[in-house]
Amino acid sequence: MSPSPRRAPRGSSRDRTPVEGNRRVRVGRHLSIAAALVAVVATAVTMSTATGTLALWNDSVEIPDATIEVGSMGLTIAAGSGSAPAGQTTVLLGAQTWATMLPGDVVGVPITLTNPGTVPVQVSAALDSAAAGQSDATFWIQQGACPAAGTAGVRLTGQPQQVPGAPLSGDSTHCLHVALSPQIAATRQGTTIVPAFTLTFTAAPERTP
Amino acid sequence: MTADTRTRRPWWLRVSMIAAVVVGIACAAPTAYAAWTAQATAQGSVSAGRVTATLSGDLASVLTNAQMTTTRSVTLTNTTAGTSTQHAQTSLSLAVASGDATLASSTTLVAWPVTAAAQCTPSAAVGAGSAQSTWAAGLTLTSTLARGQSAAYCVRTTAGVGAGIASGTRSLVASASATVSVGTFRAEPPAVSGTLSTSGIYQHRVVENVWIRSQVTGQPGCMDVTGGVNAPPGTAVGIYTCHSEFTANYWNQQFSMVDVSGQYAVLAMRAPSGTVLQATGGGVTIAKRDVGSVYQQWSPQTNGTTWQIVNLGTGMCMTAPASNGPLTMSACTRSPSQTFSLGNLSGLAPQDPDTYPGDSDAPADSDPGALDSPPPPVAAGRTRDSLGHDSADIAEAAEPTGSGPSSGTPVSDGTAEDRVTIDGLGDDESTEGDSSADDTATTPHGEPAARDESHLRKD
Repeated sequence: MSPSPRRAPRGSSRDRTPVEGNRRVRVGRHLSIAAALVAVVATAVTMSTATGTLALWNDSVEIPDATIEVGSMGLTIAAGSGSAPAGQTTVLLGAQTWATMLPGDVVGVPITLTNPGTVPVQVSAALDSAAAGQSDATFWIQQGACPAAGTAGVRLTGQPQQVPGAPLSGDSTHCLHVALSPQIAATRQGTTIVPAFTLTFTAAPERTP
Repeated sequence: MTADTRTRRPWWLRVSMIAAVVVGIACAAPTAYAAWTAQATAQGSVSAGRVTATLSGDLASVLTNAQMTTTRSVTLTNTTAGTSTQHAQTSLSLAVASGDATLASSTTLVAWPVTAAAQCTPSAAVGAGSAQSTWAAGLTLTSTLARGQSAAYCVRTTAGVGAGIASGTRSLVASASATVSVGTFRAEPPAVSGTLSTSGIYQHRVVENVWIRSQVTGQPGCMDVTGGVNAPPGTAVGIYTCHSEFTANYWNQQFSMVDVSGQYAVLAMRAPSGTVLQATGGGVTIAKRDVGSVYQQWSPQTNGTTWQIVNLGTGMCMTAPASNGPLTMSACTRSPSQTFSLGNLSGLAPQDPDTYPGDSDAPADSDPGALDSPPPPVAAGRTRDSLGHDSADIAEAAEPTGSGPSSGTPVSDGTAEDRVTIDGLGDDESTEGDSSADDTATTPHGEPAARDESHLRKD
């Protein structure tokens, strides 16, 4: 048995039809529910993020005059172990860098990433999809000078990988390795393995708690 | 009113609920996040190199009796371009490309690495890392080679007596091929080949079981131990008028061939007993058997008609003077003075070089004919001849065989020298006598001589 709609008393100053009255009731009810939800969420958030006790007693103290400065960050790149020139955001590594590679060869070149700003940044790197999608050559990056042999550091893929090392502030030299697979097909001898790759470094300010 | 209409909420209510949740979650994040980013890119390309190599050298050789061994070289170079520091795996194979299979199987092949091809001289000692085979079987040497480096190999070929042929010449094409690989990449440089041939090496044939006389082509002289049947070791061997008698006093012109492992023959004189022929200096002498002496190793070689007697220690041929006189050893030219007709005297001759005093070629327990050891017992119904041979063995030895030298040869009683002809031997044109027991015979040189029977077994 469904409940009968509530009717307003006859002769009321708010002379309304029964339908209008019901709608107003429903709207009011919904507003109440929404307000309650917002209150609940806000309370939950406040409670979950609060790190201390909440006192009803408050106090305040003034701090001396201070200057609030906006930080800066950036990212430039250069081949070699020297500082990247200001504003240089692209470096072309010559075709001879990874030419004439043989199966099992690992060839590394140093590159220098520079953050000229004041805010340390985390740097990630990702290959373009074509370079990431083949398996004959793999790309690796590590902080520091290139080792005499072998690969080290992080293998680069199409997804951003954090570049090893502390948050970048100033210059940091890294080694970009390319390794040719020992199992590469014999028919690839003398051919171009990766015609053109782009390795994108992305810098973002370090997250602070 | 339906159930749907009763439960449907207005759009603004839904939006407000979602916004509340999003704001709540965003506010709940423990860290601050800034939308600042910066990007830089590195661009390049990657290409694979190519493994390349070259192979050079010379394998052409002419083998003669005087030069049964040749030493050649091949050099493999890793010419791979680029910067790779990897060492390539190399494989050098030596094989016959085409040609005479008999020559291939009868030539010994030895190869070893050297630091420079110039080290591959005829006198070079075989170095570490060597491999040995025959050209027929071939061989393979492996190594590693850095980019830009070369590896040289000496290739030594030694002809065995089996390389001989009635025509005196065989040939084959020897080939050296190589692979150089780094991982799955490899190079196969063009092969190096050369003709390996023999010249003047005739068919090596050892006529066993019989006593033989050697007469110089175009001369009435025969090979003869100077001084007669009692001459001491060291006595020269020369050419003297062929005897017309074959009694013991004339045995200084008779010798036998004893095969040793198919590699060479020992030429044993019937008299003086216990002596063998030896190349000494520029001539030929008789000597006690010395197994270690290559100068007592001979290769009787025939073209099907006449013979040349090659000493394997010197590579020289026995050479007759223009008339009676000492034999000399000189380079084989197939001249008449170096060709002989061998007459089979059919007298049973010892077959074991151990018959002759001196070092043994074979283990003592396989030496039934040794003078200083008793002969094996003779089976019932069989006798032993004057040389200690079992009569059954004698008959068997005289039976014609497909490859034996005595086909059609009548069996001798070991005392009478029956003149016969052996297939492939030149006719013995001398006149024989029948005086096997002639104790009063004179020496071949006309001097009386006591018969030397010291080599005869006294059963």
